[in-house]
Amino acid sequence: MRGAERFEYSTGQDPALNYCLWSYTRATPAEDKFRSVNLLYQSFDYAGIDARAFDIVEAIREAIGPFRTVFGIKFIGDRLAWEFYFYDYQRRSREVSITRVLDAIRPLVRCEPRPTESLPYFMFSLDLDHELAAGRRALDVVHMYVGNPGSAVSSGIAYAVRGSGTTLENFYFFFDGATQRAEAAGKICSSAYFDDTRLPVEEVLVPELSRCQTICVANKQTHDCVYFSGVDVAQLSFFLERLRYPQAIAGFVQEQRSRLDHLLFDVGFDYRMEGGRLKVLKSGYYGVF
Amino acid sequence: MQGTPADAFRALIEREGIVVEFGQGADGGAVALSHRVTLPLDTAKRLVLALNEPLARHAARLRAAEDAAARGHTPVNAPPDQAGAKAAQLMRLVGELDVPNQHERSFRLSADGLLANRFLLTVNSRDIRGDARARALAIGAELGMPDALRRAAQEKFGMAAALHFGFEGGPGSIICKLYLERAIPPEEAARAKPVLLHLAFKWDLVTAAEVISEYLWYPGLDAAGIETRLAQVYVDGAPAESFAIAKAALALAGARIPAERLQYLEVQEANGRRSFDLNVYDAALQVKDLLPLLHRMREHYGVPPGRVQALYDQIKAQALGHVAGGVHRNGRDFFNIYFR
Repeated sequence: MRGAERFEYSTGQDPALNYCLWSYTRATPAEDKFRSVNLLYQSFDYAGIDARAFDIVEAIREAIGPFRTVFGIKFIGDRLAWEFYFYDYQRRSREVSITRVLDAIRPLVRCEPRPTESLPYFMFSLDLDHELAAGRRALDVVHMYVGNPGSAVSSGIAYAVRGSGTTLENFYFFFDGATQRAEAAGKICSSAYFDDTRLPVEEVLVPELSRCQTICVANKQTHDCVYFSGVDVAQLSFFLERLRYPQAIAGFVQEQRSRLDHLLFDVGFDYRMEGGRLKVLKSGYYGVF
Repeated sequence: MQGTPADAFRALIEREGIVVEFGQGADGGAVALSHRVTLPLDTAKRLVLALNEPLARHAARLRAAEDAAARGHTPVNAPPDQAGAKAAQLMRLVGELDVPNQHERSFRLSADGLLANRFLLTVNSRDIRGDARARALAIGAELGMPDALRRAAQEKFGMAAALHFGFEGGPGSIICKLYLERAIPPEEAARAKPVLLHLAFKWDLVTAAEVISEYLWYPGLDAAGIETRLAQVYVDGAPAESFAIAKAALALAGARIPAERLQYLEVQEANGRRSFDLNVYDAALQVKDLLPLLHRMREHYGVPPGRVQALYDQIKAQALGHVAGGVHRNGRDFFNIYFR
């Protein structure tokens, strides 16, 4: 069954959730329009991913329930990849654990990481690509996120959990899109990977996207990243065009604009400055299933 | 041992055990707790398991109670939900037969929209203690079965190896149904094509319409044979899309098992309706396997997708039982999807 045959439609009871599973207020009624998962299905169709990718989505949803998984559609170079994110802010009292999700997908995916459930993580994520979906490789890493006490803003730290051990990955800092744009700009400029004497910060803090609910800046090992949370469908289209997504992807959002205008989306891109220019390493857009 | 009636309880967690306090409800919703039992965790777990078995025997009656409880939330000024009351009454009456029953739900998609308040309760006739005919017809009588249908059902009751009590509530219509199902000997199935499998007595409590339907089984048809029969259902300008969807449903099931193992029925009614029923349980499909065809049905009938999605979310993992469909004399077509 193709992704387009699986398209889902909003009901009157669907929650409106962003990529942190925080709720937002819709601009228009949702009923009978698209659920954001259709973006995921459409990207699966475009990429021609193994049909087991759909089974993985179903297995996760059956295990932890609907609207509890955030998906990211990543554009890296000229290929698509995907990531699924799971939140449970109850930390050690969590219902949605790494173990539970890995158990759910284990019939479809070999899973190597051995999580330590006594750690106070509130979020984790899994990468999905063609090889994993086709069963040609095992899931070798889970990204685990813990809080970052001491930060002046909402913040998190990511670790890579592998069968062989755990390593530090990224730091995330969240800023209110309406009131803390200057602080977000300050954070972007306080980095080894971006020199604001050579490039305007607006190259990263893109004005067309900054009109959003939350801006997140991440410091990663070899580069930085910025996310804009709560952008509307017009901004999503702008993002996909600016980041040169395949026409089938950008065109789909454009064509289905009236079926997507009840949703807010989240977008982001990884970058670093190279030779005085901003280089985008990868980008992604997000939804919930 | 002294028996103590209780119709209320509360359960508490205390240190290493479970405490259950029993009592009786009083006027105004208050509960007077009178007895307290403390159980170790493993005993509490065994108690839950032990209760499951006897509760399963009363499943139909409990469903009626749950329905009634759900209706308790109805706003004070809302008109009474006649269909809900009749559905609960049917469940209660079948539950009172105190025999195992199978609950099969269904929904209809047509130009009138999505109709999801439909179900069948199936019992084996021989499981019914006492006079099965009298008890089954008494249920019909309680639900307003017209005299002519009751007399006809009484006359034909001897054919029934199984009984199906059906309900269908929609706008301006509350239909109750009694199906008598025959057990077909293999030699008859081999000899006769078609063979009468069900006789159904259907009456509408709102419009007073009534009909007797004959469900004719065409044993051993292969895919081409079923398709040929379907073509006879969708004749005289019947929508081509409906015919195409019906054929696609046949192909879906036929991809899992030989079509000869599917049970293809056609329905004969004096009102001129032409319809079929394809039993696909043996194909081990789930409702979600039908999703592309559900989309096509929804689009064909112009049903808003959100309502269908809300139902689909709840039932997608259920076993797909029957795909039925057809055309009314006035040319309006429909599909019924059964699942459990």
